[in-house]
Amino acid sequence: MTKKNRHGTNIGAWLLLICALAGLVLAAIATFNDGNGIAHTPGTYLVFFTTALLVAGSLLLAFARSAPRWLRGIIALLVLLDLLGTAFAAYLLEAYWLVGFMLAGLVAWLIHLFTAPTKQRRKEAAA
Amino acid sequence: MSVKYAIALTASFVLAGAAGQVLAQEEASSPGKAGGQPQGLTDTQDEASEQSEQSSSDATNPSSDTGAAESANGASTTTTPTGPGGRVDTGPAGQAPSGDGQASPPRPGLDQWMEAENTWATFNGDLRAQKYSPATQITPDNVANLEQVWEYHTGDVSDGSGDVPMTVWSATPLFVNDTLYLGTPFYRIIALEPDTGKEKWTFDPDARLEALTQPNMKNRGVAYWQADEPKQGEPCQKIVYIGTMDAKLYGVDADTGKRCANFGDDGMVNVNQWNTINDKWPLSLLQPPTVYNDTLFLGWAGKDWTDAAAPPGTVFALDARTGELKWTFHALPKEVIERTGTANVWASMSIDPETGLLYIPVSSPSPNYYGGNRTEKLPLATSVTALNGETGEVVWSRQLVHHDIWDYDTDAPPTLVDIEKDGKTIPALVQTSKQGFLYVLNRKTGEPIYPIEERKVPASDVEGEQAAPTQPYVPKPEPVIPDEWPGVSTIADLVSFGECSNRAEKLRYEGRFTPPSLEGTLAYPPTTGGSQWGGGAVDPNTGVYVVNSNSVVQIYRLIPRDEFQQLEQSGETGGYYQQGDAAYGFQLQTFLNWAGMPCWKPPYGTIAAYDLNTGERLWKEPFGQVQKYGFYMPESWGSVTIGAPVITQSGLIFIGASMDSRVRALDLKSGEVLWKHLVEAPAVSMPAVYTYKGRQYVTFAVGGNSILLPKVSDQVVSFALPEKGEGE
Repeated sequence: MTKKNRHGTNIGAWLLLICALAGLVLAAIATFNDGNGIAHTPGTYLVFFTTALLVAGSLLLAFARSAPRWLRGIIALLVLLDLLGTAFAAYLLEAYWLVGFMLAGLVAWLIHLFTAPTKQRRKEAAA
Repeated sequence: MSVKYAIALTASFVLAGAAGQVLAQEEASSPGKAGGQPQGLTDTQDEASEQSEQSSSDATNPSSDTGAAESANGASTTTTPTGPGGRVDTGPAGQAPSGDGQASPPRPGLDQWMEAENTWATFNGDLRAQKYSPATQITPDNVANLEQVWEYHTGDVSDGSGDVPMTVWSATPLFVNDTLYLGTPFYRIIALEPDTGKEKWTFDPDARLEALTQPNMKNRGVAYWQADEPKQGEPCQKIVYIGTMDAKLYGVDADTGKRCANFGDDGMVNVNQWNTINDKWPLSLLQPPTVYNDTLFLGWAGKDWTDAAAPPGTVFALDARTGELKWTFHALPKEVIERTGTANVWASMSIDPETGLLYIPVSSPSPNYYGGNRTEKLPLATSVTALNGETGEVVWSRQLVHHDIWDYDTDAPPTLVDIEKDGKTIPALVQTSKQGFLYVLNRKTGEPIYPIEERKVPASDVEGEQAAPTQPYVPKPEPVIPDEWPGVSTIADLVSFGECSNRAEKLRYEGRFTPPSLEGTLAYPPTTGGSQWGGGAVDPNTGVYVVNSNSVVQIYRLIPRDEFQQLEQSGETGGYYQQGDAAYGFQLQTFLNWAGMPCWKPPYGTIAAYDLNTGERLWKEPFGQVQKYGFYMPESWGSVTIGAPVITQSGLIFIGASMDSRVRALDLKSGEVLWKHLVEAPAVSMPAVYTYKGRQYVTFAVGGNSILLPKVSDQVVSFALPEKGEGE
């Protein structure tokens, strides 16, 4: 476990947030940049919306550490579904940079899953 | 389950079937029409099945009954029967047929400008409809470096949200006279610098922007003519022509864009003056005229499926300088035109400059899906027919579908090419078709080079209908689509909980040419083809022929008139067509499930190459990608296409055509995509390939077509290799 994590920082969630923000920017470009073949289509509006949700989910994972475990679990699950769904939609839109960031987000999500400070870990860290 | 399959399955849920949806609209927006029926000279229809009262005269031995008459505008005309069931009216500027069915020899030395290597002077690149460029600068090795060099927007575009109907723009740009000429769906002519896209002049006829015969504003471009020896300083020695949906043909000076005062009435010929029978709608001039020997050959488009007795099919020959009528060819006998019509020529035509023969693709007769009130032989309908370009008389004709009740219009110009077979050089033509066959004929005689079999086909079970017992079948070259429909798509069937397979079981399907029925007939191919109006391209040096095609399944259902009227009263209109006062109305549906997914297996569109010297298919690949809601379907599914390929001597195929708004260059040897570029909408025109000041250009008009996507554009975009020193 990293030093930062021993102090209760969730590096996975922060990485995920970065990926989500990058994804949101790319989705916005895909949606509003005329002439890319997919702008202003339902598909791009969809990924714009789902990447925005992903940003919100990542923020929750990063900051809502005191939330009940079941709630954090549900959020993590929804974030995973968002990641996979957005990546797939981006694949069909042939927005491959967005696919790449969603895959990076998946890695971040896994890091979060295995390294996120649990309540017990935080107690240990505080002690 | 493979990853691709999983992706496809999920994609299908999301995308809900772009390909099929699209196709249902094809008929509604397909250009004018003709209907089809019996044969020509080479008719082999079973005698026992023939119910006609009308005798089928031999096309090479037309009757010599000739009579004088007054035309609609008061000019004296001579009428001469020609071919099996046709006739020709000779106008004031025309030369009466000799009556012997022989084409006059061509006048030598004419139209050399048309043969220039660096130009793209006609809709199909040349008179033979080869769609071939001898340019060699862009090759398979360097095509990846192709870059956009200029872009132009005509401004003539509508998405249909305002007063002007949606635009459908399929114009091939013409490059001739050192100028690039465009016709727009608002019927303007635009002249551009070919290397920069800079505007030279424009001409606006202030045409009616109303969908009088078509659901959209349509145009396929302009035609060009020039005098054999242009006189310096005199206007209109070179003329550009454009037709309108309301049947007006304009001629303007190619250098200035000013109307040619001597052409018609101050630069305009009202073609509708000759629309005197069943004139329920104007003769829409959407396809530019074919130009040869100082003559304009003009077909027209009409309104589909609304009438039983529609304007009967005609082809006009006009003097290119004055617009005076030379002759009018009629494809239907007088005796039947109270009950039927069309059998017109709405697609492009081709000409053999060495023989002077004009080749016309004749469409099916109306009403298109029920032939009970036109049971006579109509030998010139749904045919490819060769006319004497000087006189309009039939030299030969071959009917491709007997008693057409599938709307299998002959819908593309035959491609003329000499092929080498059994050590002999044979003057051939290749006729593509909606029914998916490639007819390879001797273009001087109409006789098949590869055998055409007359095969038994299913009988109609609809009261009053008398479907032909046999139909021409072409085993070689291999049809562009399979004999049997592709079968139910597992994905679509799963998504619809068995809806697709259940419906398929209830539909009538007995192979090709299964007649329309009351319970619904599974039509494969349906009216969308097969191959569409673009036809194919050929490399005349190698005999390699390339054609794109569609694999679509639709459902044809006839509806008894009283039931149809009830449907009308209930406000039900989608997919229903009147067919005039025929005994049956008609419903057309593309075979989709509840989610809009095609119920049949992909690919939905392919492109294939054939060796015409052997008749063998060289390769066949899915082409393009379906795009729906922005999502691209797997490449292996292909795309329904509208448009046509162009071949270059260097071994490339350039083509737009697909739903995904991309233009592509393919390797002629393999079909591999070597280059692609995104444009603003589906490029449903064929490109112009030309060389100007030593640089080769490939220029597309990007117009879109509502059949593929509700995405339109007014973009003209030109590509070339970087100039030397560029980017260094």
